[in-house]
Amino acid sequence: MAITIHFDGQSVAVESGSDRTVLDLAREAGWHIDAKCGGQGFCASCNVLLGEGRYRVFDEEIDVSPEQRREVLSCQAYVRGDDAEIFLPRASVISFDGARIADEMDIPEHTFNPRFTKGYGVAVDVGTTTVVAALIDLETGKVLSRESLYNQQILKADDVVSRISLCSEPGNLETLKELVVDHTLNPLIHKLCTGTGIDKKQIVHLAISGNTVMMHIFFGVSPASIGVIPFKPVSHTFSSTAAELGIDARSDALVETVPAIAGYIGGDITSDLYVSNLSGRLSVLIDIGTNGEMVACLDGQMTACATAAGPAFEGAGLLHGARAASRAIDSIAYNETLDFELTVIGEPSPVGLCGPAIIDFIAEGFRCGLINAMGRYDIEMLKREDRYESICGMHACMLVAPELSATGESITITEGDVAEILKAKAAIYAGLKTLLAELGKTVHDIDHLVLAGGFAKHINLENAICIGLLPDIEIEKYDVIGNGSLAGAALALLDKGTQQDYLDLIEKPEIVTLNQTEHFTNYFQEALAIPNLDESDFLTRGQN
Amino acid sequence: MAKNEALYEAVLKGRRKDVSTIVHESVDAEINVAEILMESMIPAMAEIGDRFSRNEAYVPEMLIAARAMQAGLDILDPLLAEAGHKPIGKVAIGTVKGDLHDIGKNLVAMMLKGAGFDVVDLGVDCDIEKYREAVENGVQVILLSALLTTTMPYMKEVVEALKNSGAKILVGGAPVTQAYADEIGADGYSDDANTAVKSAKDALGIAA
Ligand code: B1M
Repeated sequence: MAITIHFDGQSVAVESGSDRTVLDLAREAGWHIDAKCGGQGFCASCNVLLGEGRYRVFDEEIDVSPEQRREVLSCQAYVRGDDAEIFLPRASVISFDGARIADEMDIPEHTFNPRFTKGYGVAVDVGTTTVVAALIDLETGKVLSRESLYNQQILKADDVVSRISLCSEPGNLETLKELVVDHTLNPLIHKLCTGTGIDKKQIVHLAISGNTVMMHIFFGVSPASIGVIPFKPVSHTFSSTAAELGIDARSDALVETVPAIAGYIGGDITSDLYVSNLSGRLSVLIDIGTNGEMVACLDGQMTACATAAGPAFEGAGLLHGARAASRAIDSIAYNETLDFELTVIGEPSPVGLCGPAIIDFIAEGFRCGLINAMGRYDIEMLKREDRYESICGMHACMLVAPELSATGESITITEGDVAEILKAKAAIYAGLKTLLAELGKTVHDIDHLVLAGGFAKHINLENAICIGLLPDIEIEKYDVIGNGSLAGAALALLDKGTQQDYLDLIEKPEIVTLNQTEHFTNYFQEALAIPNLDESDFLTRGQN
Repeated sequence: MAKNEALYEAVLKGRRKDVSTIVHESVDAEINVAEILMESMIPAMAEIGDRFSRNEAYVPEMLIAARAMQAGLDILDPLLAEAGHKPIGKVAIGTVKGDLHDIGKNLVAMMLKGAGFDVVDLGVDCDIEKYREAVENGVQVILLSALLTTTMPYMKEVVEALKNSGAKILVGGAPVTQAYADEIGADGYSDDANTAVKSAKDALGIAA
């Protein structure tokens, strides 16, 4: 034998190495194991099955027989000896196929007055999960091409705080920086240039927009201070040259960031704010994502916060959750007969469901009586329609039968999954309500609500309102913008005046520390129900 | 014994206004305050905790019930103090330095109170000194809560500093695991509010 890693019908042999985790061995074999907590042993996203062999798992030595495979955390498992069989479950492997990444942008009207009038510029949106780059001709102002990729840092850890934690160990900051520059941005530049026939050495200016932690790591600066109170960044802006950072462009090309507002409200939000054209007396910008940043603007006075919703909307932490990529269910419609009408990204047979689909599921379930205000199922209805399953003692609804899924197992939604989504949506709604309360306003006073971020583009707004994620106001007051962060970076290339506008803009919002407000906890608890315990908030859409 | 069914149901279903109204009515009717708490409210919280352990209730339901329970406790607490209620042990709970998350910690505190403990709430952002002071004031068990992977390492420092203080130290919070608790040498770990009560009892050798 030898050490053999099996996945999806293929087997790859790897060299042993007792100092390397099974997770690293699987990566060497070419499969990217999902390690949401950064391989620290806190979560179970990197689970694998150990076949015959000797292993050490945490501090225990174990022998596994061929008949009795053991499920373990691959980040905490080491092979002892020369022979081992390791099986990777589909759910633990990150697929880069068909990822749906928001790369459309609307650049608002602007003066064309670039700092560099010859050569090319690259605008980059560095997200925690995805990176998008656009190549711009600085002589004409035309956007020539756009490309996107997963931020390769997701191989190390999922959310920004886990990445901050990683950086506390020597060498990790450099590794994370390499993952985003060498393994994400440089390949994007390569694609942009080969696609358009342009020489990389003609790139003279790069503008980078992203959250504050991503910007620190990109410029090789430790984000440690953002991990602890008072969450102060080392700097709100960074600039350097391509050669200094190892970016494939002319060596003296200027690389600069869109300035950040605060430790958890980054340059991506500055960009969104600048391009979103907020109008009316009271307007709000919300980025529905892991950090749930938002800014409210009342007659020019601004407040901002980050609501820490968590990654549930990206499918994380849900039994059959999936990123919005190939084979993810992305919309669901049904009534009390529970005949689910599904759409799937790319391929016909699904592996799991992504955020927009679970919002649909809860909204439709609430309307037809399958799900009550506490997020609990009508078990009788599930049984009557042959949809009932019990998983680890949890009631679950079978969405896709085993023979119709790509995994050969049924795709289900447990009551625990619903509870996770309720926590995430409660954090966002409560953040919004608190922000407005600080201005002496309520959700009903909103004149204009702009949704930013890749996720917002794909949700059904009525359903998001129905579950109480977004406020019950007229649909006409909503606006969904494309990738505002990318547009903000593009503007920095196209008009040299914007950088000063950004610097002025970041001074405006007053940061609301949610824990220190009187109302947040109460609003959060009220918002855990569907749509909300405060019925006066959901008068038009709250009835089921 | 007089279990007030309506009050029990109101706590269980998380109907805060109903809880306040019924508790006020009961107090006005001069019903024994300890009885209101012990016979109706605590059994309701215990029931929701048990359902949680059986995967029949989740965090949202539990928090909503706890909120209703708190509304009742706000009325009863001062009256109970007057009545000289005897607790089963003295514990302190606090979120560690750098961390301001307290929703989970408050839920644990409430379940501990419900189980009959005298609970000292140290609040959030607690440094070693704060915990040490609590021990000096007669606390037998310290519960540490952390919600951030960046603040969790502080638990290790607290455990080390208070190793010989005589108090037992229990740890918990979303990113904390049994393996981590063992690694830092904590006296116990629990992953939810219900099992936290059990750990606290175990630590003091109180039968469940
Ligand atoms: C023995 O002793 C014991 C035993 C058991 C114990 C115990 C002690 N303590 C807890 N338990 C256990 O029993 C309880 C009941 O079963 C359980 O308690 P929990 O606390 O786990 O559960 C509660 C009942 C309900 N859960 C919660 O209350 C947490 C929910 C989420 C949404 C959350 C909230 C609400 C908040 N947040 Co925060 N927040 C998130 C959370 C994401 C999520 N979807 O879960 C999380 C925890 N936050 C996070 C972050 C990053 C942050 N948050 C921050 C702020 C906030 C709010 C102010 C907005 C608010 C807190 C309000 C408050 N007063 O507590 C910031 C930090 C503030 C600070 N210094 O603490 C900020 C740093 C960033 C930001 N965006 O502002 C993330 C941590 C990621 C990580 N890798 O560490 C996070 C997972 C969301 C995310 N972005 O992914 C058990 O853990």
